[in-house]
Amino acid sequence: MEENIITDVPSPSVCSNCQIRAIDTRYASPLCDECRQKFIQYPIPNWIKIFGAGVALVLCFALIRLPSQLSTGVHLEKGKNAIKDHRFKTAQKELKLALTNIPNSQEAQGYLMISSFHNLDFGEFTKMFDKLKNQTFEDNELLNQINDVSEKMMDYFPSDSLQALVNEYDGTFDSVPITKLEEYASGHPEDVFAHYQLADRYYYKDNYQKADTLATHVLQIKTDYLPALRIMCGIKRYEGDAEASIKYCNQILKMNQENVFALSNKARSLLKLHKDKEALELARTTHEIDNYDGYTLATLCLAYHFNGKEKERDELIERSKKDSATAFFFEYAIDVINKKESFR
Amino acid sequence: MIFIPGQLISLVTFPGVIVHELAHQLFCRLFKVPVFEVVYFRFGNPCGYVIHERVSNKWHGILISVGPFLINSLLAAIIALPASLPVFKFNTGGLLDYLLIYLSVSIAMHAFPSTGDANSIWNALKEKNTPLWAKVIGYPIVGLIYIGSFGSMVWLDLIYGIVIAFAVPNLIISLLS
Repeated sequence: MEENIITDVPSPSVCSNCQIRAIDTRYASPLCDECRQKFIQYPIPNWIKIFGAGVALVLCFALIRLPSQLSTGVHLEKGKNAIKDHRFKTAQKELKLALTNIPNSQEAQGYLMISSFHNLDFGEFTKMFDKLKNQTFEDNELLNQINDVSEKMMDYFPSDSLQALVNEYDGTFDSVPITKLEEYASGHPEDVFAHYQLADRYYYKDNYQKADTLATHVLQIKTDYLPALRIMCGIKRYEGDAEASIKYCNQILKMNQENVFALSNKARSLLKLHKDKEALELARTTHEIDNYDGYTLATLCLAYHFNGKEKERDELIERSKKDSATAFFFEYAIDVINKKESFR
Repeated sequence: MIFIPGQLISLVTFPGVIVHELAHQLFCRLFKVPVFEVVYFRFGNPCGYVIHERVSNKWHGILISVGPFLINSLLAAIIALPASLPVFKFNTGGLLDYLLIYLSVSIAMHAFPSTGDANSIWNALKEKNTPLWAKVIGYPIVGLIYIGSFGSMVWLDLIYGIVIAFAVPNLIISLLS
């Protein structure tokens, strides 16, 4: 409904506008050069200029926020892409950055909840769950994923009956006698959490055979139950079956490429198999993903040790002494280095 | 299908009409074509127009006709850029963001050249001395303009406006991430 209309006019010898000067015959309109220039520069009215200036002003104001919005959008997309690639550590990092600018974004909160589940970050998971509960979702795909992880999360907490048992003691699992836990587990064969807790107790008592049986039972019920897969990585390595340990690590890594526990465990199993260079490479990659995790740092320390890199190893040990959170993980590594513990 | 008179749509989306006519005028100025009258907006049919001299250069003629498609689309995308993410992606849009989205969609909706523009190209192409390349480029453009014009009956112009406002910022994000 808008047009550009072309005019054809008969061509007299004088300019049809000023009626004085001779026309420029090279063009269709009978205009002199001066009038032609005037019409080429047909004035743009002031109200159009003011309208344009108003739009420009609003635009400038909005453009000020553009860099932070673009960066937020990029963090959000990177987070979502990382989830698609099963890189949940990156996903959680990117989504948290996105949420600093858009704290109420349902999308960012939802995907952060999903990634925190895969990273076993229960604090973040609960925080996001509290924000999202009772909300309505338009994105059904996201909602299905949230429901899926929420349902899986049920297996990471004790059932009411198990909690009642724990409450009979001082409220911690360690306080419940192992016989009582066994009794409970045999009465509740489908309770993966109880069986895992029991496996964990046997694992720390160095009873790997019993821990293996219990964790295997859990994995028969829930093939992707992460704590059971994690414990199996350790059990198999302590049982001297590094290949089987790597198999369990790979199973975890298939679910989460950036599970630093599985990566570090795999590196330790490679060290057991005397594949020292491969182990060091993996330990370094893991350290790039998470340079704070104590188990990762201790694994890198062991990898340096078996690759003859004493300087780097000792630097890590020195660093660990300044951080109580990592010192615990270094105790075993230092014992291996000092040959107090037989590693291979 | 909801039928809303074209004049009412033009009234609501008047910024797009103004930019459309301004684009014709600026392209005329760029190619040194005299302009005799410009109506940036009015309540009538057409709701805006530019009267200019017949253009002997076919390339210039085509560009003057399709100029609004380029200018309106580009300007709409730029205006939508800072507002699209808060409105469509983050759900944090404020009044300013919605104002920019309205401006962007209005401007993009009037990006399509009108059938009057198509007729200008058609008449220029019919002239005897028209080179073959101009016909090869020009006739499909005329066809596309008519398709766009008929498409506006099924809200193609509005769909185009929303796509420009929504898709461009998302495309940038996808490329950066």
